[in-house]
Amino acid sequence: MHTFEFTRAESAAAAMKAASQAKTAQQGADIRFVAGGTTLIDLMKLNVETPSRLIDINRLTLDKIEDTPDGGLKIGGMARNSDLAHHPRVLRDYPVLSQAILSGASAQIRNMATTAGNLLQRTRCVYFRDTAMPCNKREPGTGCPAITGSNRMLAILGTSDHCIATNPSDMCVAMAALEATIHIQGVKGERSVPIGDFHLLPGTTPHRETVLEPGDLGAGPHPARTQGVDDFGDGVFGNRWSAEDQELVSHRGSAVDGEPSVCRGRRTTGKRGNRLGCHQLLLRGQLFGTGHRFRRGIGVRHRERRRRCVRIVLITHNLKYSRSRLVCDRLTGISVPLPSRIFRM
Amino acid sequence: MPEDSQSNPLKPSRRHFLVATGTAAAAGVVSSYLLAQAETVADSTAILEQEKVEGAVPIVLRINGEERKLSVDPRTTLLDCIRESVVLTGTKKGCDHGQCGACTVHVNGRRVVSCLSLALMHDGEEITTIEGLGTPEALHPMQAAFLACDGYQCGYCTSGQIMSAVALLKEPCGPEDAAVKELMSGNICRCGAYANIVQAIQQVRKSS
Repeated sequence: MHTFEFTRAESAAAAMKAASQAKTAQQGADIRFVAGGTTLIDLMKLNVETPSRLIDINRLTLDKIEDTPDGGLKIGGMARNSDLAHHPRVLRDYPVLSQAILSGASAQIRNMATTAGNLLQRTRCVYFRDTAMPCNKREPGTGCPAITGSNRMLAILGTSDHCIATNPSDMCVAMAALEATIHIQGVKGERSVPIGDFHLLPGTTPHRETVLEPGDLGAGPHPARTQGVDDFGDGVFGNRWSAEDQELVSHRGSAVDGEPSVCRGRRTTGKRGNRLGCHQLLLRGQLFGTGHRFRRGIGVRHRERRRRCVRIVLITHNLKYSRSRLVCDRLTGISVPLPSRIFRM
Repeated sequence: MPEDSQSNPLKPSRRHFLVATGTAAAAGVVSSYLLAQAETVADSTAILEQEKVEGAVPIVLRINGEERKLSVDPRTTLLDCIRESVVLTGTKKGCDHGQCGACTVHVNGRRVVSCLSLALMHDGEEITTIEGLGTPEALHPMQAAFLACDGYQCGYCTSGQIMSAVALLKEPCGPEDAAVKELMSGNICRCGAYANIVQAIQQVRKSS
């Protein structure tokens, strides 16, 4: 591990001011905040991250989870994953968020890792983590060996010729499903970004993963309110799922990185009292930009319904599992690239 | 990892440890060593405090109820600090990347993997290691249950397993074995002693 200067931030303002001197807040940042450390210290041991300065923000009180006046929830960026997953309000109104968090990592890591850190998790692509290999995300312009190499856990949608890495966070899937807004505190003030805009598509700049700029701190997500599912079936997005309509679909246990996780919302009332309407499925991994809506005559369970929408927000894929392909095919009505043809398309 | 263990009795190497325990260094002895070695590290900090490392930063850790004034390189993980500076070697280094759980300790009462945390991040905090759980004469109930249920083979992961298991007692966890297995999934046992580990944990949960 390269050596670095270690300082402890006594206030958010001081932390932001110090970090704003960094050249970038993206891959290769020379100044990094450290909170849980479960991603950063891991990557520093591999020399994938080599900051010259670490700012410890663990003493900042940014870990509150509180109700907002409009009935939503405000989650501090420093709230630990385990505290968020077991918070009574999350269990009551956002069970899918709790399930998603508890389906990832281990109990020890969930005690350490923070909500903001979870949003900023780095890909598990083996080429990114190995400094002996080229990687456009780690060193722009060096190439992407994953495209023709070991890619069974990598993205099938939202890729580019430069990068097929996935975002490994389960929590992000649920946050996207709940249409969370990310509130970013920066040296120039506070700004809010929908989670769909917070992460960037790889394009030609896979080393840029988020909209964060040097000095930005406390990316606190606010999941949307959970009321008002009435017109959900009409494909008007921006509606909410009630708690009982939330479901995490996953065929894996925790501590298995890279397998797909899917959050599903369903409307449980209808003429026949069965599951009606549009399913919003979110597959883990690569983020799509805002408003990628697939207005196709498809659905998951109710083909008879005339107009349905599906929005895939995140996707990753274990190419071995035909089930994942099936889900994608049925959702989007487009054929999902298979390993044999993924790079011929 | 380079190790000059010949001259420094405070940093026992694996070789010295095995020599010291002699031919009896079989699984039983190793296990009891893991479970009850608090005595072997007495008076180490006083000497270590005198060691000067360039760029080292002074910190205070409260380890197993005892205040330790240390001077650590900023790169030192909590795990390396516990093992190399404080010389409490019951906490084990497995993968060193947060995946195996061998290095599990409690920080302020919560279990964490000490390999993914810097010692400097824990200045003034309360750390509990396997050495702080029980003594050879008065084992922690979980330590006793691991012995009774034979919840180990080689013993390398055992301290991490026990630290996780003790923390689990205070966490939301369903009554069934599957819930225990899920919450213990951050601790890997290469010998595959899982069935007995679950049995030991359930035994303690039922009796408490």
